[in-house]
Amino acid sequence: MKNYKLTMKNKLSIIACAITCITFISADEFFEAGSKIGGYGELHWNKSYDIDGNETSNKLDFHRFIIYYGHNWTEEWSFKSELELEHNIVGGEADDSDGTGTTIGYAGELELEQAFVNYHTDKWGFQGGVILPSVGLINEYHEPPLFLSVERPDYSKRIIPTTWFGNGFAFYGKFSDFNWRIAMLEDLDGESISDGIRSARGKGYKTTAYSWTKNISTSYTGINGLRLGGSLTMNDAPINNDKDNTVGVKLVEVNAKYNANNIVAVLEYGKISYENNPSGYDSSSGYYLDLGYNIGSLLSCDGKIIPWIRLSNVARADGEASKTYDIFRTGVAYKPIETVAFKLDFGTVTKEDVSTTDLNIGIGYNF
Amino acid sequence: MGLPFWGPHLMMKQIINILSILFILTFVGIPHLYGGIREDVEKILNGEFTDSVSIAHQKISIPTDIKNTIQFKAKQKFFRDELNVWAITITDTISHYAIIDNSLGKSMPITFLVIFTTNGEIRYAQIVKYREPYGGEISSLSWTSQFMGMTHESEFNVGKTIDGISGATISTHSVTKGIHKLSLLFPYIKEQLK
Repeated sequence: MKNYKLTMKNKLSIIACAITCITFISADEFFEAGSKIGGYGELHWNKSYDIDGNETSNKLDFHRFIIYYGHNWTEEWSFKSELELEHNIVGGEADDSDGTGTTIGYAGELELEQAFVNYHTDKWGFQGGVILPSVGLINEYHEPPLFLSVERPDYSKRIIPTTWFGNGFAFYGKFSDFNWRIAMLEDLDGESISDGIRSARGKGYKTTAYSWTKNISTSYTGINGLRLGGSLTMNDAPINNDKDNTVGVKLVEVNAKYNANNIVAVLEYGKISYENNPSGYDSSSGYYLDLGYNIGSLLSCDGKIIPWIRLSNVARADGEASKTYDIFRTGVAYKPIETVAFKLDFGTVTKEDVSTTDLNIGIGYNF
Repeated sequence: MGLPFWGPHLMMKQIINILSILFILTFVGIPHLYGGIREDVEKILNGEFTDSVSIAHQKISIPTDIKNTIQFKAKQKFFRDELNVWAITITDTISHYAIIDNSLGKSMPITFLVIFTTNGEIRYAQIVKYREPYGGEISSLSWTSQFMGMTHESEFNVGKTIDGISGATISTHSVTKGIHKLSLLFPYIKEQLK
């Protein structure tokens, strides 16, 4: 009988076999391998008016449709993903009339917003693939019933470019009531940085990793209903893929949310500092404050009825009046169940003493 | 082209090596790697009660009609047909019952424990195992302590009687339904363990 040596290949195979066996043997009565589908979406009706009250836009848009798919191999190892269709159809002429980096009209977007392998234990975890940086409240928790307005706050477009996603990896963990996460993602596109970083997101499309976008975040959740957090994100974004010609970006933000005892209060503040910005801007900054109160129980209603107000200021370029907005918005969100929201809001946006108004109606859900 | 790993060429020595690894992992490694949910629960129970109590574990099958009625009321299924239940006895009298079950989070099961008094009041609730990367705040005892004193007649309503957690909507609703489900089951468990 021929004698075979235990080669490196065979040793690796043995280890793989052993891991597979552990997986099956360790699958206890409280866990079953399997897959799950979820998702969220939102329909919006947006109307805008100029200072004289003339209607300037009227848009009915199924803004987002997202399918979540996850598969659990073991208690520790899983795969999670989100595939997003924006504006209901892909194709047609691209435009960017509102300057947010989001195309409208017939040119929707099909995006793989998340797709990562996750290793998770009680103390720490790892994610690798298409991931989200932990920056602000809405980037990671963006299901429509989780925020009060029909559209995401302007702050969450101009300062925090939600949804910000990209190729990379992250480690995270928990110590007592403090959570931490360190993520490393693809570079931003330096040539697209101007009065914000929204257009500079790589979105996982053939990106570079010369400098890596470093994202460090922490949050405290030790009091019921309260979450306090903050993050620091840095990148030397290459201009036209030239690693020796970069735009320095540093984004610092803090956030707080209280949602208990019928009170909903949210405060976020963030500032982006630039070095060697091609447009010459030094920084962008902004904040918003939401205050709402659930009057559902006062009206003997099974669901939640939350009238709310928002005060906000966004400076896409600090010190530039033409790029600074004061925003006042008020509305009501009705949630018959926690995962379905009907929303109505009315806002005024003031820039250089000129105010425009808008009216938004929306339906959002997640499951 | 090399030989495939698994085939007739595989030597007895290699087979023994593989079996040895599996044996060690199965009977030595795994109990340490995976301490087990039941062991975790018994640690919690030993911490919650004094040493003078005795803790007896057993598995109880739920009759289909009772299971269906409770699942309909609680709007959540039981994870298995059998439940792990502990009776906590002080001086020959049962003082508390502890039950564990799973509810489903965004994609992973959440294993939770509820300890009832003999009157069916919740004395204690705890998440024993949370397997998701987000929403781990639900494991905080300050959140689960909201269930203390509730019974099967209480209103289990996130946002009304139970505070929600931002970013853990699915988990908070699921565990709340799960605890409601065990509260509804409690009279049957008490009858079985008399």
